[in-house]
Amino acid sequence: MTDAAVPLVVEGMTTSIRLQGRLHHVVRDMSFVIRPRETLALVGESGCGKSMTALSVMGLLPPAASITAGRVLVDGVDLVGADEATRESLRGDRLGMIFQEPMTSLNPVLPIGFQVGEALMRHRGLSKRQAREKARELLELVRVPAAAERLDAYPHQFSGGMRQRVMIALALACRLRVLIADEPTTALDVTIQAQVLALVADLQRCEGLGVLLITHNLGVVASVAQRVMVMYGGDVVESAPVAAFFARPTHPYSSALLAAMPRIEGGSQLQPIPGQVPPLGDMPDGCRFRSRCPLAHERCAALPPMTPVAGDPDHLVRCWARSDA
Amino acid sequence: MSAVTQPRNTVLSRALRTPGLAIGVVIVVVMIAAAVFAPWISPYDPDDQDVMLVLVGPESGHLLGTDAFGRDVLSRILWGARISLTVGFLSTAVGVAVGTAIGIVAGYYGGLVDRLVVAATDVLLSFPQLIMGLLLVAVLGASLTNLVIAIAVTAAPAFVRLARGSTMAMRERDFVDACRSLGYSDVRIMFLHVLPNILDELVVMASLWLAAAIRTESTLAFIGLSVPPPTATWGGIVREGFDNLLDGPWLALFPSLAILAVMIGLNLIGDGLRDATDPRAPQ
Amino acid sequence: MNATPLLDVRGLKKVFVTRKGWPIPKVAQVRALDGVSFTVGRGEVLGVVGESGCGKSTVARVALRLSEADGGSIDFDGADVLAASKLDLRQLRRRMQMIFQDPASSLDRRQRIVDAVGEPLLVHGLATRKTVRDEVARLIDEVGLPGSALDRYPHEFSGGQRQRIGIARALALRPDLIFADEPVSALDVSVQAQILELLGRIRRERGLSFVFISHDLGVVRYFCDRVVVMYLGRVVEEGPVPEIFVEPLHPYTRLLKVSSPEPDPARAVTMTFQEGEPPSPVDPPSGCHFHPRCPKANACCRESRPQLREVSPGRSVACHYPG
Repeated sequence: MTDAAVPLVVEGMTTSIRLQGRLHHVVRDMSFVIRPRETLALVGESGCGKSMTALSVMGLLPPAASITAGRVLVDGVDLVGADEATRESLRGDRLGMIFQEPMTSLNPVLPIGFQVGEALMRHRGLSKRQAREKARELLELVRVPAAAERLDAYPHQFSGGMRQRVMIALALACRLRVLIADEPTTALDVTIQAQVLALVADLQRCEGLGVLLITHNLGVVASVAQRVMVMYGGDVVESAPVAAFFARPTHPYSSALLAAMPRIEGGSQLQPIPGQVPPLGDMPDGCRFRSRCPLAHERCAALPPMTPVAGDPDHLVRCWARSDA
Repeated sequence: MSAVTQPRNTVLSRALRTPGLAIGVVIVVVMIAAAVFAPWISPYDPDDQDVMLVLVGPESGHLLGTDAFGRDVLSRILWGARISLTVGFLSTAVGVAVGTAIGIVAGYYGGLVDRLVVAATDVLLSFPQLIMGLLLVAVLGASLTNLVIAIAVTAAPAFVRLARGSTMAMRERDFVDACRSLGYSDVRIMFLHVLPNILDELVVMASLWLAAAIRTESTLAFIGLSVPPPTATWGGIVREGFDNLLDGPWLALFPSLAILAVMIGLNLIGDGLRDATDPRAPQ
Repeated sequence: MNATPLLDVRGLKKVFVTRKGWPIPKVAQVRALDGVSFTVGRGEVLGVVGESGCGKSTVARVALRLSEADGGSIDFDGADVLAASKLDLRQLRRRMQMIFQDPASSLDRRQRIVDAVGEPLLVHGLATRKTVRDEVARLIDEVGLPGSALDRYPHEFSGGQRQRIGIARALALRPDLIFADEPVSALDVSVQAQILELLGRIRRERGLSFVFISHDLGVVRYFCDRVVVMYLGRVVEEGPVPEIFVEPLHPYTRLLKVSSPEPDPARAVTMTFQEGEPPSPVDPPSGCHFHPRCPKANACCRESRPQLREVSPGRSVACHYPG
């Protein structure tokens, strides 16, 4: 699996956080790969561990949390055991991350052109003048109108959608191979969301970028992703190619999520999922969804393995009730 | 999920775990107790003169020595605490109450009222606190009431500013609008909903201003603008000690130490409360 | 729909003025509402749809007089809302209530639930100190929270539960009309469905009317009877659900529809590139506000503002070239 053509491989990663002296697993036994030009969507509701997964891969976990098992391979190099310098260089160079609220990730008192240029000077060793020129090219690449004039503008002079484009430009300043996007369009209006998603898809084609897209919105998943992983309570409960997933959502949580989503096209029935996600310290043993699951059974007290759905090795589900069939 | 919201009990429990705060509380409580129980614990009448024992150093019989009139210094400090602390607490209370009320009203309504209040506050704040107190006492005349008024006026603008800012921050959140849409009166919203939510910050600042008020009183007493002699106040005792600095240095030293201890105590309380109520502080 | 609507809003205007700079401030005017008209029938749910800055939240704030209008009229069940005296306003507010997007910020964090929900009852004399607890318990039960919630503080609840508390408080005064400003936008999908179901049940049981403000077309389609679409302070289209979504007439409604992601790979959102930044409400485009983003725009659209006109029964659109 240490194939250099696969820029990001995560194997059996478990991330734990220490709260009030107790260790809780917020991500359990997570495995996935991201290939060039591919978008993998990580879906789930608040607290399911999707953002923790991103922060683990990026090495940006808060002090109380750490990766307690597994490997994170970037271009074949394991980040988990690596020294800080190796991690630093890979993180800045090969992995980039954009967040929900771009304003908090940009320095408000520095011009945009300077911030993008700074990243270029650091990661590509360009001179100041070259960096400014390249920064302009990048802003044009992410379709910021009048890029040349806006190099000297400050973040607050940009709208939300434009700021997210600037963040993408910043991420592209490095020789990026994987972009991790954590709810990148959640704070944006739908028409702007469509533009930003289109931009990312376009960059994937030309730059060969792999994308890990973290979102709660199944509509966004259907629009832009090739593969999808559904998370609940820190576990991946279903993993499938997008078409197979929407044609045949198999885990009870996946189908419940889809049934709870109001749609523009018809369907006047909504099926809410009863109850709520239990707090971290109160997660049931075994399958963590069993406290809300209509199919819950005694055997769910043991964590089911990921098993293929109808013999399809690409479509995996973690459910006793659904894997027997 | 709800780590940001801070229920009262954690503020309290955090406060109690702060050593500085606990020390401050002990110091201030001891001082207050000394003032309250002065009539019973002071060894002599503070105004009794013993011409045979003038400027005696600390020794048995007079623990902290006597002054130029043969009065017991310890007794005068204990009685002086009554005046100094009373003036401090009363003037701060008046200043906080008036300043907060004006600040909340200005922040809540905004507009012209707000602009006038801000202008007035800026003018008042541009005077150094001491000069302001001095001017007021000079105009009103030196008495306990006037002293309280003068120091309260110096404290009020700071609370106007704090209460106004916090109220405006509250208005940014939906809950003032929610109250209005439920048909609550403005007075109810300001004093039953906004005030309790900004109380934390006000209490922190009040404890720091209390120290400033006691200091101002002492300074005014030192330059002879407090309650007229022979009534003992800390600043007054320091002043008298100053006249005999070479013959009896303890005379100025001991009341100064009392002032210093209260300052330290109140500042420890203020800092401790601020840390305990600051939501950004580590849990 | 009955002959007289419950709420009749006509030509509503609201201008926000910002002053920046010193000593000579630069004055900017934002026309948050630029002649907005709509009606809400008795028992009807009207959806107000649009993107940030279109003025949809301002409609609710102005109608509840949380913010004063700069023109137009609002008639609520025969009463002139904008001219109401302080005393009349108290009565009107009792009958028109609001549910906020973020209940964490609309609840007083120092009030226990029994006090937060009970206070409006006491203020309006709908309960006494003795009866208020029972009354609140009934409301809390109606919104699906356990009785043990009464003596707890807002921070002890999850987002969905807090929104239930917000709903209970709005119901306390037995209103006829509720303005719901993005009531489910901050919630997870599974919880969002729970709250939508609750709102639907309350609506049926109490015969309530709603003005339901949302940016999410799916939610609006599920919950609303009729929809007005707003763009930069103006209503651009109005019509019943589902027709307005099945066949949108205004190009902006169409753009909204194709941009809204649906959980169906066969209906991936259409990516549009032609536009840069959306226009700023401080300096809206001339004529039809939408013309810089519109594929059909011509000189006429740049010069003259299209009026909202009825094109078929119940359907109106403000476009020179609808359909």
